[in-house]
Amino acid sequence: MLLYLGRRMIAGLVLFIVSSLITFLLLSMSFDNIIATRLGPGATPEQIADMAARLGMDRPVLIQYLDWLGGLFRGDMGTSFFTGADVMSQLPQRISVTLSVVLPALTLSAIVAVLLGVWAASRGGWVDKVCQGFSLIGNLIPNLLVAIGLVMLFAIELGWLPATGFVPMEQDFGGWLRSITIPVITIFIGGAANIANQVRGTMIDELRKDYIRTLRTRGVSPRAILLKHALRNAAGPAVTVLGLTFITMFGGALIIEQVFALHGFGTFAFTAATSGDYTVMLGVMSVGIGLTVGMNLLVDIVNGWLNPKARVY
Amino acid sequence: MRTHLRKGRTAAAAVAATAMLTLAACGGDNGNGGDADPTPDDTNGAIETPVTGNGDTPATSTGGGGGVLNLAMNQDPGSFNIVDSGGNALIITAAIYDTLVMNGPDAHPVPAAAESWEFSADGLALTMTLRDDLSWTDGVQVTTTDVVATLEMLSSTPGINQGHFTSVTGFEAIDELTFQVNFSEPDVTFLWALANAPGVIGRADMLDAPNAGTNPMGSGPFILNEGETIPGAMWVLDRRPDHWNAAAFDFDQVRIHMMPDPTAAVNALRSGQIDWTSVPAADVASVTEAGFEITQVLGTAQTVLRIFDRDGDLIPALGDVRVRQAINYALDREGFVMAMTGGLGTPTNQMILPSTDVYLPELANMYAFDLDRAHELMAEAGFADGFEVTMPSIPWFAHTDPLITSALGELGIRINWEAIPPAEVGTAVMSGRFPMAIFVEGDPTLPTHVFSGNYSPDGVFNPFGSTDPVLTPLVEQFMATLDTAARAEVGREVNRFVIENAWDAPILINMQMFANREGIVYHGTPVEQLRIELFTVAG
Repeated sequence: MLLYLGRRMIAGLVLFIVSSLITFLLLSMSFDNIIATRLGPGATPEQIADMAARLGMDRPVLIQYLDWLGGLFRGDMGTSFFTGADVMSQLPQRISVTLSVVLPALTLSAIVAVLLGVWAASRGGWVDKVCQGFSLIGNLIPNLLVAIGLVMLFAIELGWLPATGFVPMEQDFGGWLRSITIPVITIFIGGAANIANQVRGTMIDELRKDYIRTLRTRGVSPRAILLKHALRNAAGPAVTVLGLTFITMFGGALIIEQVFALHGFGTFAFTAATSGDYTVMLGVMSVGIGLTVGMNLLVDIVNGWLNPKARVY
Repeated sequence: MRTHLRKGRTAAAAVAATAMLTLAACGGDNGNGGDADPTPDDTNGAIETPVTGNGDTPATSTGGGGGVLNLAMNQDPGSFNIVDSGGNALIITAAIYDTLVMNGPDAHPVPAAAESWEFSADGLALTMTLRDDLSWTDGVQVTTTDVVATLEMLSSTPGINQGHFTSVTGFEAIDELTFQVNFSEPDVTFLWALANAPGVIGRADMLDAPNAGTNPMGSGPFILNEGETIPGAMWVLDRRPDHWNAAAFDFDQVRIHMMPDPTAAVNALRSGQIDWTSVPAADVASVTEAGFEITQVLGTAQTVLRIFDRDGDLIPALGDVRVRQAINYALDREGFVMAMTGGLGTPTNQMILPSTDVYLPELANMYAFDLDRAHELMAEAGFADGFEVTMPSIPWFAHTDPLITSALGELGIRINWEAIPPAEVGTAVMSGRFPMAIFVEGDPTLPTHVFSGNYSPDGVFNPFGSTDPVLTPLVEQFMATLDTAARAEVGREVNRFVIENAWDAPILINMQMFANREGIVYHGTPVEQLRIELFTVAG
């Protein structure tokens, strides 16, 4: 297991270096434009060159990249090109806002999806139809429409929940809960629809297998057959989908953050990209790769625990 | 004739550049109706009430006690470093810092931190006197040492504000409260600049502080509440009761919420989370029905089809005045107003507002929509089949691209749109690669900035450096004339030339809509939309 983890960490590191180098090279092609944007339309080539020299942006790109990489491993991602604020100190705050919405949504999605999927697979009939309908509608309806509808009803018409904004949990737990409710419901629907369909499908396959028939003939209770045996074997693909759903939710958080004015990771990344704040973009990229690699590793570990035959370590 | 002079930028052109950068935030910026008074109207200096307001209901304040004001803004101030400040979210910067002057209700500069000023007879020296009750938040008095140090830093450091100082040769502190600015040539735009970011006063011993961009020290009417502020999400400002103009502000605390999405801002208004926001045209009806007050401010910006290549260097057709006139005739401006703004705007064929003293009402109907006339002119010029042209597709104006394609397509003008990344808009559009561009320009209230930025050979918005033996001297004369009436006369000649020779194709005057809850009054004008003193308690 440790050897496996080590191999995965090294592979993740290689992936990170390759991705970050490509990103840096692409960004470096716009360095002059980024400086010109900061200096204003009246900037002369001499002023641009002067600022580039002061910021070390006139050095060979590889040297600049290695300099940045070294800083990263020292915990220094540099400062925002436009605000001067430290990138490393801003990221945790931004990530926590996004995770405050994504993690509850993912948890809720998993719970509802498993319940619905298992129930649909074991009962069939109208329950199965409800599950399929929910999966179809949940995948078809855009998050944005759901968000707008929920805001109109619960925030504007009823006044039960805030339309925008985020209250940190440590500041006011009740306020935090209210501020994340509509965003969480918005992204939960799509996530649950996706996972429920997966759970339903794999459960149906499992329940048709011979060993399930054998367990029934041996008098094992239906509940134990369902939850202890079938679900455990069917969980693998669902866990994989759960991992992918987390990455999708996190990466797609921008739209939700814009609609609800959340100062999360998505908004942070978008603002950096549109303004050309390359230091922040590199920090955002680092986090993105780290999350993806980490989540994939976690999925492999959980799948290996659920089904020893599926272990890759 | 095309020149490639890039040796400097006029101050007015830099101001126009600053206005361009504010477009996405507020659709316009401050402006002067055409005057830079050599002396203030009131030299006594003491200002007890806000000096801005709309023409009908001048703002009057109660001097505090109004509680908390919640506003929505769509652009973050970024850095509070004075070199980089301005443009985006000036409302915050202007609250934390004092500016030397302010824009008055009639768009003329009025005293602020500087209680009086005087230009020399030749316009080459400006002497200003500070109020004696200016203080930093720690109580230390603001002196000319701070002002001169700030101005020197702004003029010598590359940044968006440096261009305002191209005609400045030096600064001199005469005594603790009096300083002088020396010019190489008269600069009628300089006083306007001092009402904005270039006129901000920074503390001399903190200008280079490493945290200057994030922890500002100002002498303004508000202090940044760093404990409650969440950078990028909400900026909290606490009123300073000891500020010299404290009586001008009704609210004890202002919370500025960053909401880039207009729908989010409108939802926040309707749910009671904020008190004021700008409103997209599509939401005006629903917001009005919900009982909010709407303020319409006409003239915060103008939509213009810029024709840069007037000498025909890239597109020979554009070098012919008949082709440029044909383009003007082909624009159904009334149709554009309906299509782009739902009727919330006014068609125009001039680069400045009707309220300015250089507007020509007798030419208002020149280029009334007439496709037949447009075709005639194109045929006379030898371009009956039109031509091909590449134009930049700017992200925040991209919704106008199909309208322009359709309008110019009637003349056979085939447009290739080139998408421009948001971070590169300024440099790309002004790079000289594009013969034409559709633009929403701020500052139509200020002829000095419009004419110098667009029609000076080295104007920032004249990327091809177009000159004309008649127009260029006129523009130079306009910029050098200090007397208001004389300058207006020259300005009208400039405007007449630009219209009759179709140097551009203005389309419409934009209207910006703002909504606020009952209980507060918003006094926005085409000159000023984003100052905290514009918000007062009702009744």
